[in-house]
Amino acid sequence: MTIGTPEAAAKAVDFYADQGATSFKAYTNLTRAELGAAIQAAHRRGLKVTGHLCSVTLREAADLGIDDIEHGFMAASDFKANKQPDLCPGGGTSEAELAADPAKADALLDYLVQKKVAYTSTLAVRDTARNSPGIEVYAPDVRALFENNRRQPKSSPDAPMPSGLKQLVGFAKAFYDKGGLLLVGTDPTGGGGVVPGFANHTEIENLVQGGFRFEEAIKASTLNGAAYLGRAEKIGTVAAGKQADLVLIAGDPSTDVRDVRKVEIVFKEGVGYDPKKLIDAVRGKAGLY
Amino acid sequence: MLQQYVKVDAPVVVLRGVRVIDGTGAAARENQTVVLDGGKIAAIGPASLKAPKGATVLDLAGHTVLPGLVGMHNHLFYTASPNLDAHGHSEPPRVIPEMPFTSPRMYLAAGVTTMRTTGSMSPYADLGVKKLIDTGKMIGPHLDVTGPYLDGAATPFFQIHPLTGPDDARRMVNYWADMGATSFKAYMHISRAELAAAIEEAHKRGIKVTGHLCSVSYPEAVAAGIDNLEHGFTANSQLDPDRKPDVCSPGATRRTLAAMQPDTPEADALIKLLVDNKVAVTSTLPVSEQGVPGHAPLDPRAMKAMTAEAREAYLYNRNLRNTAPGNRGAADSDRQLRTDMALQKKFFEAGGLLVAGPDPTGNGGVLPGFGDQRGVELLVEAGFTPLEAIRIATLNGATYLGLADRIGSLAVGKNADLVVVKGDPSKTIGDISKVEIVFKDGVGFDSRRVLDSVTGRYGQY
Repeated sequence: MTIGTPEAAAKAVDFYADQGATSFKAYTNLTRAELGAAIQAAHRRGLKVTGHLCSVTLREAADLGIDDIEHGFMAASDFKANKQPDLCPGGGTSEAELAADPAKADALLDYLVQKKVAYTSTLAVRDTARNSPGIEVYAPDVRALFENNRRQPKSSPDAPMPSGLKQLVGFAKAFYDKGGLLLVGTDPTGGGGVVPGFANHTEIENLVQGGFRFEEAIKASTLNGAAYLGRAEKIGTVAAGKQADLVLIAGDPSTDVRDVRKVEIVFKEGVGYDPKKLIDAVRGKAGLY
Repeated sequence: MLQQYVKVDAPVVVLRGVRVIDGTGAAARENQTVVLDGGKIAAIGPASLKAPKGATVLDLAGHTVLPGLVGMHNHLFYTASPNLDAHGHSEPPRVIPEMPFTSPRMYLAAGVTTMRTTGSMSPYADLGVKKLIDTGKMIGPHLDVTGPYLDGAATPFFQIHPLTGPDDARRMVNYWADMGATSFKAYMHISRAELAAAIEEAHKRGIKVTGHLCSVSYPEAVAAGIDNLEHGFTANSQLDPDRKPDVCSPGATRRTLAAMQPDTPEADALIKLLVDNKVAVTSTLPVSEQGVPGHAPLDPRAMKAMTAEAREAYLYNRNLRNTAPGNRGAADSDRQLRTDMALQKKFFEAGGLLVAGPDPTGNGGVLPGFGDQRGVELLVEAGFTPLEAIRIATLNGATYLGLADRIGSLAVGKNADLVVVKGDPSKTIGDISKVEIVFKDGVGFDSRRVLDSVTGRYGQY
């Protein structure tokens, strides 16, 4: 929906919270006043707001009280030379722009940590050239659309990590090391090569390739998300008394991260699901419904 | 990019040698000249009418011009049953994905220049499509965007917000009217109190409410002030002997239709009630026809527009309807269709405002545009003359929408929303699907090219 005024932003938050929404996301063309109004309306109800931002910088959003930043520095218009207030200069934030002023980047990470803003890393969406596992579950037409419209030429999962991706993992690691709440997501968009579930594994592989210890990558992908959602008492770690939401893997991903894909059983509240059967049931249909 | 779909784009266009069906029900006029100027109809006259200087002249001998269709039960979505197999099994939930790319093009290619979305599963998407069409970034009909379905707690669709009471109904109407919805539709499980509240709020804003009903009977909905009833006489529950207020019982509408034969006092009384209260009725014969075993095969062009998966699902459904043993619904469905047709005819003859739309849902065999054309053919099968059927699908819809001063018939001063078909639908109604050019506000779209652009995509996006 397009928001026209701060009042409309607050009204939308109230309307959908009444209907059952439990979180909100701001997008790339909101004004600071609209974002501020939405955050206040959500916080009055104890709901959190994240943002894939552009018109509002990360620093401005932190000042407005945002709870989470999607895509991390990928969507940080703080580094755009031509940034005008409340306007999205477009084009995303490039590797060169992010590299231009390391002190500024470091200070912004510090500021986010200080303001207790979480940071959602979404690396797989930038890694579809090397990695697009799972595309075989797409309907044939949907798969063809991805293959025929690749944003980058196809490489190989064994190819070295591209420098832009390495830079983004570096920011995520620095944020993590400073004590920030690093979250992990996939963003199944990106021209079609980010396949739900499969891409979560790509994400973990990327974090490890980029310098995280496996245990850190898993913590960011599990406990930190639970903590952000306020559910860490029930989920997010394997501990006595917690909900039986867990994954059984054949192998040892702590020594070879690629084993993370060898999922044999997924337990949700104690019921063990067969991943092979689940995938077979959607094979050839993903992308349609 | 969109220019490739435009066949005629000139300030002044003259259509020569055409047969004119003006949409009012008046007899067709042969060998006419129609002048379009600045997006309006500037003149309609005999062959001797002079073309204005510099006009683009199209020689259209053998063709007929009729008003753009006004589709009154036209969705922008597809209904998918995940993993449907040849036995009719599928996995829940039933998914209603939006078709924002294919649907508007298919409607336009078939000659639909104005349509109501008649209940939205993705209301922001419907509103967005309207905006993109109105600003020239997409091609498609003019849209009356209906807000999200107003349904009760028992709604079977996970994409519908179940109302929690009359206050919630008021909130929904006001919120979505603020967002740009210009009509509303009540659904099968709404309560009388929710319906009355929704109608009251909508009417305060001058917005009309229609309903595909079941929990609320037709007379109850009339009492609540409803403006329009969907699906002819097939969604009424008033004569179900086991009827409980505010509850949609399985079979209630089928039993009511079976009991309400056209020659009964009940039918007379209901039709009088509807006419006296100026409640319109929407004929949706195409979706009913799909339930009849052995019904007409689908236009091959419609089959071509579908994804492989949508085509397979339709053929499975069709095959099951034709062959499944012990399918009582199938045995009844032809009789039900005939009863509905006869009641629609009687309603029309009593002075009721009958409008039409295809309802592209059901078994997947009612497609945008093709369904609109089929609806007109089925009205003729129901006993209407071709000229009456065309009026129902054009001027009557415009009248309901309050747009009859601008669209719905061919008259000087009206918007140049019109369809050029090969042949003579006043004699052979099937010619209504031989669309060549569709003019919308004076811009002539190439029907075939528009249709070709969605090949294999209906069901995907």
